[in-house]
Amino acid sequence: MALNILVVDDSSVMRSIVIKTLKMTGLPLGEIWEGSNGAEGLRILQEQWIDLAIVDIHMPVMDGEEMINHLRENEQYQNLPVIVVSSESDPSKIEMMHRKGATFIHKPFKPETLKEVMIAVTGVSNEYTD
Amino acid sequence: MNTQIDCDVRAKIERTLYESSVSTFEDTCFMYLAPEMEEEQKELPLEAASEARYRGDWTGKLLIETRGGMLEAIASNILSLDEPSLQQKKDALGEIANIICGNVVISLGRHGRVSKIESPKFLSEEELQTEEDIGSCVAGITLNFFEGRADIKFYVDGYIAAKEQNSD
Amino acid sequence: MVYTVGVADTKISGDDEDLLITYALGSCLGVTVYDFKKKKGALLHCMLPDSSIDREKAAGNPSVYVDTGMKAMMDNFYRNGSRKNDLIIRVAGGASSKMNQAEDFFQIGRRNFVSLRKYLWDEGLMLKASDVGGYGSRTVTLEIANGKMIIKSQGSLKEL
Repeated sequence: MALNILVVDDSSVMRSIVIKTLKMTGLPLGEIWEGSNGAEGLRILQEQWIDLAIVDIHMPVMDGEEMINHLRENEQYQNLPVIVVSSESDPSKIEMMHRKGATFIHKPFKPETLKEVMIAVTGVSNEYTD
Repeated sequence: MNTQIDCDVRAKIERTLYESSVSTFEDTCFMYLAPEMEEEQKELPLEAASEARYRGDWTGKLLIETRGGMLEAIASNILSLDEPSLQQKKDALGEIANIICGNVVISLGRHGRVSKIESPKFLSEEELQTEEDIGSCVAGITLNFFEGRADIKFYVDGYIAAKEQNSD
Repeated sequence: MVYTVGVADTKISGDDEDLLITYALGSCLGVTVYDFKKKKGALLHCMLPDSSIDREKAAGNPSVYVDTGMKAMMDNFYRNGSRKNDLIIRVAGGASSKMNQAEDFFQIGRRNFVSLRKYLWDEGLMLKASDVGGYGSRTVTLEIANGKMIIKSQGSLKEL
């Protein structure tokens, strides 16, 4: 199964870092979509099939927290795997993300961390097989 | 505005500022510190600056200034590009400011909840001069790399929660 | 056969009876690459982070430096038909030269690891596992038959 992935971050540089890391993982990737805030992310989700969303917290227009709230309120996206990649360091905010079913990765992060979390939340892995 | 921050919190902010800056440069930019600053690196002219503002119980900003080729090296390393564009250099520096700011604001303490870190802003030298007057710098570090120098400062403009308490 | 990899040295083998070993990794890095499809492995023992300090020395022996050592080792795999996704890259070493890391002025071990990360990032390669930092030396072995990487350190034994 190839993963269609949505990357939502207001920083084009951080989107580049995440997308480069995704390609390094060796995991089966389908389409990668980019949004620069939560509202754009939700619009892409309405138009495309997405298997995994990788989302920042602090963004203009609509932040990551509000985007995740919208996802969890919508039956269609209630179980969508979400990884939050953020420099947010407030434990109560991080705990809140966990309660909403999102896995948190703290910036700065190492590429292997994103790969491990992707495997854990999607169950997809093609490591060392033909 | 109440910007009273006690010595322990100041020390904690400075420690976190140093540690998170070093790990951000190592993990995101693949740069490591040079053991000591060469004489000429002390006199390097300002090359670029970027700030990330935060809002919440506390408001303020993190400011990063680069000198001696750091601006290009940061973007080049992050994006694996030999010649990054000016926009890529600005974005890359801004992202570094953003990451470090997110790591440092938590040091403001349990009453220092920050609800928002704004998108980073690249500053011209003129803007930087004006910006310097806003808020108090509570911690500042200079990091010396083989690629150049980074000066990182953490500002606190005001403590909204303290003001509210005072008005009770 | 057991091949000992010296300091600033690389050994590459495709013989499943071979075992590559390197001793006394302190701040140096021991990087292994294993192609699980071709059952071919390599072990690099490199000393310093960046070849830009002495290009001539690096040209004479690329294995001295992390960047040139990695490039020479990886080029051997690519030349012989290995694909990136079939390569398992692991690393050990990069220890501090002082028990108290604050006293480690040059931080060679830490710099070596950052330099390795830069090489991997630029080449789009992912690290599978690492055992780096701390204080004390490590011995690393790589079994060509199965790709097992074993690290011996201060009496303990672990597989990466």
